[in-house]
Amino acid sequence: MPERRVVITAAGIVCAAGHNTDEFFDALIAGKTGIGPFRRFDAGGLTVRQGGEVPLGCLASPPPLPGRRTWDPIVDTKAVLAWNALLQIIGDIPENAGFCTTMGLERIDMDAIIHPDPGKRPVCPEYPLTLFPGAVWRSIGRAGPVSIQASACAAGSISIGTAFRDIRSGRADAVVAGGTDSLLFPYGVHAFASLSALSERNDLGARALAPFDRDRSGTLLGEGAAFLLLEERDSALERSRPVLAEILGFGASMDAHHWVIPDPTGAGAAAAMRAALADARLEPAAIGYLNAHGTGTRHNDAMEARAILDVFGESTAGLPVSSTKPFTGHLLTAAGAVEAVASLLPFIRGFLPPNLHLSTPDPEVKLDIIGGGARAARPRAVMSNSYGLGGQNAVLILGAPDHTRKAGT
Amino acid sequence: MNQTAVITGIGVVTPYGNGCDALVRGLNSSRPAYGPITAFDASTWPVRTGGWVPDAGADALPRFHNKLRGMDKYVRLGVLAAQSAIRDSGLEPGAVPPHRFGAFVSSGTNGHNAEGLFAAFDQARGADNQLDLGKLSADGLDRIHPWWLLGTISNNLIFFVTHFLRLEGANSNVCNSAAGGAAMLSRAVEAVNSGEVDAALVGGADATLNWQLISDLSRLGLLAHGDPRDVAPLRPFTAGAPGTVLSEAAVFLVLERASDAASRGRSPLAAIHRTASHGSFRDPIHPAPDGHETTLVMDRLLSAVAAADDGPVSLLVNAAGTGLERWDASELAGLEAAARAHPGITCLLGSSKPMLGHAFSASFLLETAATVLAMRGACPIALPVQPELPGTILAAAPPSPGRHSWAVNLEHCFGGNTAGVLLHVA
Repeated sequence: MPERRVVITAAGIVCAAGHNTDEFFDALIAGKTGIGPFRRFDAGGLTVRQGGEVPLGCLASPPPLPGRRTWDPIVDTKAVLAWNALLQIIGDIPENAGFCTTMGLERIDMDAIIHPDPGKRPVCPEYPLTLFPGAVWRSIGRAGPVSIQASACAAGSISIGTAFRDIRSGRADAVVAGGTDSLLFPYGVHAFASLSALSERNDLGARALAPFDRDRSGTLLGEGAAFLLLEERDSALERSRPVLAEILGFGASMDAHHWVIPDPTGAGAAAAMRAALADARLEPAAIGYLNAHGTGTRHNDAMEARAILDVFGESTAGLPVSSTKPFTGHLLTAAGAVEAVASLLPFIRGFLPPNLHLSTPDPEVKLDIIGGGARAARPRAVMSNSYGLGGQNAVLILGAPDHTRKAGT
Repeated sequence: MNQTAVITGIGVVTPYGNGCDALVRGLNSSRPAYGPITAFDASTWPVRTGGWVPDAGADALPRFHNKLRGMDKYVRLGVLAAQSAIRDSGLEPGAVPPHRFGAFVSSGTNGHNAEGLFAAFDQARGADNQLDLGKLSADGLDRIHPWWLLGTISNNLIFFVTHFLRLEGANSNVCNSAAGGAAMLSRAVEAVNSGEVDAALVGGADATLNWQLISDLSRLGLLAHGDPRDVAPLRPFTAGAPGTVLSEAAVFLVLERASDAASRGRSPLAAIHRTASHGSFRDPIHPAPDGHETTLVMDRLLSAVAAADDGPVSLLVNAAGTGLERWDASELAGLEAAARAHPGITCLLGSSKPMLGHAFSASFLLETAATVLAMRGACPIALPVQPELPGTILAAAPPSPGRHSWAVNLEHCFGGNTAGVLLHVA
């Protein structure tokens, strides 16, 4: 029996660099960052005072849980962001599609602690977040399995990769996969700053987030949501669905090294890339663009560059690489989903997104980082890397809509 | 390659104790694993019944305990169960290359360590006794240990398990409570069957007896309130069942391809024949009254039985049996409808929750482990109070141990998110 193929037929996104795919793609091509000073709260007492904040005022609220409270844009930022990304693709979602999403810090809705209901003691009403995916599915009249992916900053890619495998193996015909996240409130920013993960160079403005730059000083947080509609290729074509890209492969690995710090050798990251290439049955030279995890921290970027060199060897010279986090900030569990959307840009617009703020390339990073502006190119296959705290690594490989597999594969 | 995933090892930590022997002894007793909460003062709580597991100390985790300081209890229990599962599988260290050994974890809603924030809240109290955000960011945040945030991240267990046991292959971590284990089992089976990994550790852990989770679930009307003597045992599928009871637990299973297990001379504990899941979400909390989700899941599983076994089949069903009237009625209706469509299969209705309680994110895999042990004749999966099943074609599972070739484990989650696994023992 021929292997089932999986295609992306719709994408929705809300992030600091755009409130839909058109706006996001325009920003990527124009090199227009969404990072700026925090406006939603007074960050004067924080060491980090900027990030990829989404103006919430223009966003729609999800349908309320029956008999329960409504979703508040400030308290339930993640739910509101997710709903607005989903709104962009709702009309395309088949009736029995599954739903796989991230929800950020799952156990404790810290927004609700910090903004408690008047007259009540602070509580941790986690259940609205746990219930959100099912409630959304119900409100749009869909039925299918729902799961919440919780693999730290690799979660968005694992969400998509799991959906890909579910469809390819015949366990599902269509799945909406992606993620939503926001830690943009005082404690969230403070906590990540305390881990020395964030750039405190507020004086540099958005340029403080400069992946692969010699003088990089850390990442900046962002917020947003992105979802892809994945469908079995033949049924999508039968329904005349537009194909934005094909998912060719997915690979995951564990560093099993350190709770917080990535394995400096890059062995785990390299293993995930190799697993994805093997899954896609592609040689490294077939990859025409790599969307790096590229957080802008010293540890991550050095490790990732080492891993890419290890996997791509001689092919590295012809491999354009960029991180799109300078456009959006680091979206944590939603990062992989947002970057999967960014990885559609070459197929849809014919451009590779640039690596903003690369002033002085790190001599240790021996990669073709796309400095300057967007680069015109139409690769046949692209790779998107995601690495998470706890050592979870995930890699997606996307192919052009008309990608042709080798005979017999 | 024989592409059938089989279970070759089980590790469990339950209120009955550490290990399968303790679990089997408990399931053969008439004593539920839960009872009055005595580990802390719950006398003022509406919920005073639960299944408490003592924390795993340095004696239980001599090599790892230091590294696990500051972690929630569920992480330690999970590591303990994972170690046991590997040991039970008989896999020698290095028998499977690290990058070919996967890990799939349902960490669910764990720990709930909001206490770590209280000092900051106190410092940031405004004139109206509410939180003052300005004071919080200026004066309060330094009262929070920076690792507090890391402690809340739900993939801590998968890190420590893979770090300690040197597992570097495919992985995933979900947190959608009771259905999470099913999602991870399904993913692990796919990884094993497709050749993505040669072995997989799949498990879940939950330390449910904390005020935050109890508060959340109690407000949703899901937990049995009142005197523990009136609550225990859970009475699923009976009129007036008071609700469910939380238990703490950790469980891990080792999966391999049947051919690989055979080549190292290992008899599988059970084969995983099929998994299925569905959610209708007609209600954000409760399953559909007509049991639509259960019908759909069971129909897929029963169809798989019918395709594999053309004789009359007796099938043990370890039902979700939450003890919530509305959920149980839905499940019963769904089981009935599916069973009527497959008259050649006799469904024997039981549930392990009356004995084990509801282990939340660990529940599906814990009950899968219990089902496997029951299939092998080690213990029963029955109901303590036989439900009245007028006009039904369902039969009650026997109260004493016996061998079963086929069994299904079912679980319900919020919104009717329903999942099941079909197990076979040759």
